[in-house]
Amino acid sequence: MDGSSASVPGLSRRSFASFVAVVCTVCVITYTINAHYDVSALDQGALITRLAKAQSDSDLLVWQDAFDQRAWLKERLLDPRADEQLLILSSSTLGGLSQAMFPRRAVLNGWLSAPTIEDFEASTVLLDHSPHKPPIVVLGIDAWFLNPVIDDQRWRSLTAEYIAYHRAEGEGVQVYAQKPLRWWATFKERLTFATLRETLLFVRRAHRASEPIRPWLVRATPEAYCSRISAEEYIRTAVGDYVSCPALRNPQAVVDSEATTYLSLNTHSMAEWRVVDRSRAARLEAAIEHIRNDGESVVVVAPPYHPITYAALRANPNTARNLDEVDRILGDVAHRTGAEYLNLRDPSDLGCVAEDFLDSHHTKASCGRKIAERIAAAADASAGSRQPR
Amino acid sequence: MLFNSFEFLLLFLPVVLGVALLLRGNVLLFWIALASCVFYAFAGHSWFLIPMGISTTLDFWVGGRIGASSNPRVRRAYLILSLTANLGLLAYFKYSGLIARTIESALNVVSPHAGNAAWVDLFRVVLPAGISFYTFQTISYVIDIYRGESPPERNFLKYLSFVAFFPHLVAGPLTRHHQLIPQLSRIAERGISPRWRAALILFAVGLAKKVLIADRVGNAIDPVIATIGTQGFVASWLVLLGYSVQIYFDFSGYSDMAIGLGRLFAIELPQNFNSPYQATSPSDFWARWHITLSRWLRDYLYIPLGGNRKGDMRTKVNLMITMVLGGLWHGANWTFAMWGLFHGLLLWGYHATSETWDVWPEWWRRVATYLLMTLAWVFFRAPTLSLAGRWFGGLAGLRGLGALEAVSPHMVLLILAAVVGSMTMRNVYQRDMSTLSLTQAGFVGAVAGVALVMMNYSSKFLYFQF
Repeated sequence: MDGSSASVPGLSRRSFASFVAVVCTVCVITYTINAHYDVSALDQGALITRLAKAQSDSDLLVWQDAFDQRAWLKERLLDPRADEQLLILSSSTLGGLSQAMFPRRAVLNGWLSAPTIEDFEASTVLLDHSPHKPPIVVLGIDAWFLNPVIDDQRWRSLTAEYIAYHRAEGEGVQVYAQKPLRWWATFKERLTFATLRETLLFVRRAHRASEPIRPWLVRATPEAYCSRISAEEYIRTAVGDYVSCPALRNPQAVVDSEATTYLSLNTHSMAEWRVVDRSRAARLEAAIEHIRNDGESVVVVAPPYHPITYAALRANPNTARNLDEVDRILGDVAHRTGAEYLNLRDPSDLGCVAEDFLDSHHTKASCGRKIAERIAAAADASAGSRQPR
Repeated sequence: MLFNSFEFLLLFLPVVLGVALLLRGNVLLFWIALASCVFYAFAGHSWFLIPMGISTTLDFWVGGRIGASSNPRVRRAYLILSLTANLGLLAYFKYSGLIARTIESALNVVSPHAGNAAWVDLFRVVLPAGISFYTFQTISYVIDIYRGESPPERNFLKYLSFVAFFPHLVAGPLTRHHQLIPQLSRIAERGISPRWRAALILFAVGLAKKVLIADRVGNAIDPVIATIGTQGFVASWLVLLGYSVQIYFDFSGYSDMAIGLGRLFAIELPQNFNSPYQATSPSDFWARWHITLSRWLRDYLYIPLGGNRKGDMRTKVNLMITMVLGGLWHGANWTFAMWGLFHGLLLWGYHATSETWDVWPEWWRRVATYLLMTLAWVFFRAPTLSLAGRWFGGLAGLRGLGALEAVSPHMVLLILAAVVGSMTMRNVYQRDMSTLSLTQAGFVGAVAGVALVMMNYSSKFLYFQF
């Protein structure tokens, strides 16, 4: 092989055309199916907005898969009829907090699936534009939020708000790159087998259950709807909390097993967490500052872990050090911004036991009520000292 | 940036190739070098460019000085400067960690706390991807000039493009200057006319090997290998066969993709694999596996050591030195040295018994060679020598038959099919692609399409670490 190989044999012209045509066909079919069913909820914005607008107090928004939670939150925050006194922005770890747990305040639970710092930044813009700003904003900050390995693209549903936030901060070109980046992320998501596999599983599930292939509204109480389904679904009430159907929950042994393997299975990339992301913490502080400047009170909450999981995290020198550093950073951020900080990561502080958890990091209502009591107390303290900054 | 990523295939490659098609002369060479540096920076860290820049610039300058001097002592001094700098960089980035760990362990034996010295941290450095490849390429360039076998390159852009040409930069094929620089001269002069039909089919075959076979098998066997010290006979053998499939399809898939990409730029990179599992002896295996490295080691290590010209004993010693250093080239771990030693012993054994071995039926020799080469992979894959020992224990049945369900049945079928296929089927370079029918080409297209949409399941190439 001396490099003079201009006559390397290739396909004939017709075979090459056949080869290219088939490659393109596979890609087009994959993309089309994924785009049509959109199980990644990349393009559901308009539908979810419509459903959120139409959702009455007695309606549940349901789907077999995770729908676009950001579109729901956006619509509810911009709804002129809104009159909530307390807004929860967090991951699903605080998503189970319901109106019944806050007897003295109207609540909007704006939990998001896998929120990232971009979500919080974009949410500040939503709050700016909200006709009725909730006077108390609760930010649920999971430990892994400051793990730089953790990344998620779902925030791109709020790209316009994210750009507006950073434009207001005086940032330039890189902000405008977010639009093409969103398009690119969507494109890749739809051209992959991983999505196609989820799509085909979803279609089969929906077909068997004779259920719609799009999110829809159901007029029913959570209890009544739970009695009609045979597998867990994503159920969001008008207040925003998710519904976990008791009959469909895992047995306690499974829950404890999940809690035990949380770290060893590297859930939330906890086992590979090397450093705490201080730049992300600084961005969180700026977002809190932004909310505080509008005169709202902020309560930063570190949600609890299942006791077994928490013990495992504390027993591991690396995660214990990171947890301590995260808590110190969040405490400092709260102190500097005038926010309240509730560190509820240790379940024993709340009096929550293993039976109070759905898995390693999601609580049942029994523990949720205790979290809500602590939040309400912190909100009272914060509201007493509330003033625009 | 990986070849098997949408960013590379749908953004980087079309832009780089599209612009390159419009250019000629030094502008084209500059564009190729620039694109290669961008590719390399995205392959890991942007600081990876610094050692590559030092190595490239120094060797270009040294090559020029050697070429310009007729004084043997001066020429020798420049050669030593180049070798010291290149091997020094390689030693620091690749081997200092191993040496530090070894010293640390030794000190710990003497005193439990003596090894926890701060100086050890100085040697915990990230290995720049591809450093082993480009270092060997630039060393061979300088040595060839020193030997008077080729003149120094006067055009730095051409030289930089030779070193950094992105299809072969990170994991080969290890390309010599006389293979690449004349082709770069040609495209600089005449422009690029891509060999689309020869390029894309080869790239597709490589992608399918990587994504549909190597990664699938790798995902199935990695968890078992993580507990190989406790596995029984069946699992030990299954994952070993699986690893022989994974390493071959991963690396040869990468090489196919690299050669295919080269063809898009009208550059023919050297073939790196020739059905190595069809080899009929250990010696034949090394003529088929990682061909470009084997030839480099032969030309720049084995022959300079004396090759087979200094008697039987010295030949064997040279062989062992070459194979052990070749093993260590793959990684900073004594397991790689042992892998090289094992291969050296196999070659030694083969040469001692070749008269008997070579009269066996071809099939026996092929199967025996495959099994011997596969046993050697234990050292290549095991993280420590002690675990390699335990793996051999499992292979010998010392822990009983063990669980049969360690690897799923369909994965067992895939592994066995891949082993049989790689031992019997003609490879893509032996086939006349121009005779593929519409249906056959369509089938290859379907496989390539599936590989394309499964890319996000893919991992890095195993040879990136070497």
